[in-house]
Amino acid sequence: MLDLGPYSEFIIAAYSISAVTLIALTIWVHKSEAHHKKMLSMFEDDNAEKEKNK
Amino acid sequence: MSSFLALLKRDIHLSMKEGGTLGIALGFNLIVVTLLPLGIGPDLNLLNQIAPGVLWITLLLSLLLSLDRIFLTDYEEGTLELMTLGPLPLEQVVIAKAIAHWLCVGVPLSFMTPVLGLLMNLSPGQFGILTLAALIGTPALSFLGTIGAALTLGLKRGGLLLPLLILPFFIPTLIFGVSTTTGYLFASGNYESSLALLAAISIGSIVLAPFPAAWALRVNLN
Amino acid sequence: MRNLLGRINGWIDRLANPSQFLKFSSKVLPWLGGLALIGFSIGLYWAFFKTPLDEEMGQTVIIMFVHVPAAWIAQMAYALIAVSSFGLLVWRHPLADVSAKAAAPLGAVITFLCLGTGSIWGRPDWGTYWQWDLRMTSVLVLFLLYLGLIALRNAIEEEVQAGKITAILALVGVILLPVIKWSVEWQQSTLHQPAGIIRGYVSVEFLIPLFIMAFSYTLLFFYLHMKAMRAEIFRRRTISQQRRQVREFSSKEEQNLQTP
Repeated sequence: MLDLGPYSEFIIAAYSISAVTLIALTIWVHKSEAHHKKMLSMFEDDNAEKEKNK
Repeated sequence: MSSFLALLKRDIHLSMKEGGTLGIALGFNLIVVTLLPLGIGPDLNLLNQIAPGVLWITLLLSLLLSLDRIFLTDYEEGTLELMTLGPLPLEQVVIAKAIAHWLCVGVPLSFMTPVLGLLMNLSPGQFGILTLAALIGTPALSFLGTIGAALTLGLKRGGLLLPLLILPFFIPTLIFGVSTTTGYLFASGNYESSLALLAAISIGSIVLAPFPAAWALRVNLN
Repeated sequence: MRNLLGRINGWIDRLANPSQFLKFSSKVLPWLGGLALIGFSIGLYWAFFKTPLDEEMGQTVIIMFVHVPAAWIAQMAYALIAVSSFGLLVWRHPLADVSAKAAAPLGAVITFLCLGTGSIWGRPDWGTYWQWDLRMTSVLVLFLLYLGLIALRNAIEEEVQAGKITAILALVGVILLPVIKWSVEWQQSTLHQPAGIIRGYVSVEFLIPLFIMAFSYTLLFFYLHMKAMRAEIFRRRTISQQRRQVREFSSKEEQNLQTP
């Protein structure tokens, strides 16, 4: 293990908060993009089918 | 100019007739200053020390309570929409409304400050500077407040949103207002320069704030 | 020179078109994400294994490598929102509003990270989690402004109106932030003792990992911003498709009523 000196817990805390927050943010953004993409393609398929049936 | 004065007169007259806003602002100011010594203990020395900060913060909060009323009545009655079509540019409408708000809420609150100072263990000789600083600082609050009121116009929960939007913009007035008062009361530092900067913040707000406020009104009335 | 300007303008025009943006971003995104990952790996390795030990403070200096980039990005994100707001209000670029909307929550989270890591760094260095010094206070105000932008946009139901109103608030913030910062600075120079922060000698050993981390942070921010903008474009298109369906449905109903 790395020697981080007497204040290692502060360093670990700062880096963990940053890592957890940034990873959570990335997951959230990814999920929201995937979700909206899915919704859009659903509606587009739906509308395209109706156009065909006309 | 005459239509500007007519609007100003009308707004002052209306808010005098309504009366509710000013009463609530003054009452709120009093109740907060009453609660404070009950919360932190009646140590007169301590109260004297924190008096300038406390009085300025309660002043900001009380004035904030009345900000959403600046355009609301006219908006609900449809007169604001008529004003966009009228001869007066919307910027001047904003200026008239801000001046009316300052005269009807800012000035009474400023004159109330010494009374509250009495509760905070300040001596009557110190009342002049309290009122003076409040009178010079509050125009900035009324004018900056029109921006917040215009941005949140017509929102269901605009009144709740307004403090979050507008309080950060009150920070300069708070800082220079408190430093004027403490500078004079405790002879710490040069209070004249604080007073000059307080006036500068007010003048800057008077000159600049009507433009974004009128812009926001136009967007919200469309 | 004019040729170059023309090309830049053409490039901006093409980017401002949502369909072009979707194409462009799908090509760029993997590179941004990959480079950010590589950058973070190198930066973290450098930060933890190559930073010389400071006798007095231990290794708390390496908190700088996550704190300072967050502070930079927090300000850069606001600048991006301001430019986008200007673009929306003046040129009415369709993507400007999408960009401003996508950047606000990202900026708020990173500003929060800046405050959080700064506070953690403050405890071993200054002996307190919070100090009302100029930087922390102005970043806190910036955070409040981000919250205001997000709350205001959420409160307005009509989207075009919400975009414009939020843009006005963002531009007012651009003018008032320096004034607020300056007044806090003035207050501290007159009333308080100057904050006794020990600014360690910043040597090259610290600068290299700092810049690597800042660079990776920037890449990550633009990666997230692009992704969030894509999500917003998809969302808006879905809404217009929904409206189309509703319109078609209601016109059919009308026909059915007319021909019994």
